[in-house]
Formats: sequence, C-alpha cells, structure tokens
Amino acid sequence: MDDIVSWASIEGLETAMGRDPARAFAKRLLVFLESKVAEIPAAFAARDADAIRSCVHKLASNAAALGALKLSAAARDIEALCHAGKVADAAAQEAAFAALAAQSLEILRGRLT
Amino acid sequence: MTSTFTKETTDAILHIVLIEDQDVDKIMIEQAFGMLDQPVILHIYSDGDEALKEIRTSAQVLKPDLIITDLRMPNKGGQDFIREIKLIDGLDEVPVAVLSGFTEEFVKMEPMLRHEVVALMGKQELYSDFPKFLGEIKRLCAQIKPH
Repeated sequence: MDDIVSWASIEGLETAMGRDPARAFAKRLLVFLESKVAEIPAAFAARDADAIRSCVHKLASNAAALGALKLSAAARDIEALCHAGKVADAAAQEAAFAALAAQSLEILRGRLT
Repeated sequence: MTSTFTKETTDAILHIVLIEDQDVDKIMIEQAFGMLDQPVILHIYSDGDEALKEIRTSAQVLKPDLIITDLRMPNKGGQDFIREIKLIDGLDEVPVAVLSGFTEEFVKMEPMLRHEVVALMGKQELYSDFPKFLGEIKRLCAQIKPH
C-alpha cells in the first residue's frame, strides 16, 4: 500500500476472479472513475450543495472500489460538509480534491494500463 | 434493469431485488452474483420508490426471494423502504438485507427495523475484500428458500 492507493481492493478482485478478469473489471471501474473526476469542475462551479454532494458521493464509492482510499475519504469529508450546509467550506476543498483525484488516477492508470 | 445469471443446474432460480443508486456498486454486486453457482435473476432499482412501485405491481406474479437495499439513496431511502415493504401482505415475509457505505448508519437504524433485516453488510468489504463479500453473498443465498 502507498499513501494514495491501496492495492488490497484490486488484489481481492484478483483472488476472487483470477488476474486477467479482475484487471479487465478494474479497468472498467477506472473508466467510471475518470468520468466522475471529469465532473468535478462543473459540480463545484455551481456552488450548490446538492451538485457537489452528488458528485463526491458517487466518486467516493468508485474511488474506494479501486483502493483510492485517500480520495474516497476526501470525498466523504466534502459530502459531510455539504450535508451540514457548509457549502463554502466544501467549495474551498476543490483545488486540493481535484489534485488528489488527478494523482490517484495517474497511479491507477500506471498499474492497470 | 434485470441481470440474468443462468447456470447449468437444476437449482431453482433465485429472484433477487437490489436497490442501489451507485453505478459502481451495482456493477460490483452484479459481478458477485454472477460468480455464484446458483442461477440468479437480479432485479435492479435505483431507489426505494422505484423498487416499491415495481415490486407491488409484479408481486402477484413474482415475489422476490431476497431484497438487498442500500440505506442512503435519493427519494426513498432504505429505512423507509423496509418500513413500507414490511406492511405489504405477502411481501412482509421476504428477507431483506441492508448494504451501506456508512456502517454508522447501522447503529442509527431504528431497532425494530434492524431486527427485521437478515444481514447488515458494509460496502467497505465490497471494496476492500471482495472474496469476503462474495462469501457473505453465498451464505445469504444458501439460507434462502426460493418461492
């Protein structure tokens, strides 16, 4: 495990499915994660709690499924801020969150593609 | 949406309702059911409202053998769904399992509802320990008597 991505998730898939099917499945999840990360700027631009919460809620599960636990935890934190009505605090996280998302994707692509 | 996993077996087909709003979770759970030896038809809905409407309509023809519901969803969440399904004659006996990414939600569940469910499954296992999650699904399905 490194600080950004835990490989336990993908190794678990490999144990259950076998290496190649697990890799193909994980790549499918990665495509989903890429599409969710691409939605971050628009979701935060609206400064709307529901838009941000919806974006990070979906991203949190997707990131966790690939072992991007730091990104998943950051998404959950932002979701909690939105839930508490602290939209400005959530919006203030955008740059750091987007950077972490990009870093996580880079690591995952390096491993899976 | 329906996913069918048929197998060359004489086992009865299990009809399982999955209520889940997250696309990735749906894909992972579908994958788990597709790996069972038992034939399964998975009926997938994105929230409790949609599921209740469909299940009520089709209950005369097809009663699900198991319902798995997320807790946090838009529109009707898992707790409200369970509360309502348990008031419907004929559907009140269908076993319900709960799946959530927020395990603290299990503690917050109304005790009466928590007592009604046959399993509380954390999504963390779905993500971080897929073989363990698959094992839980197998155990759950082994306990079900198909209608």
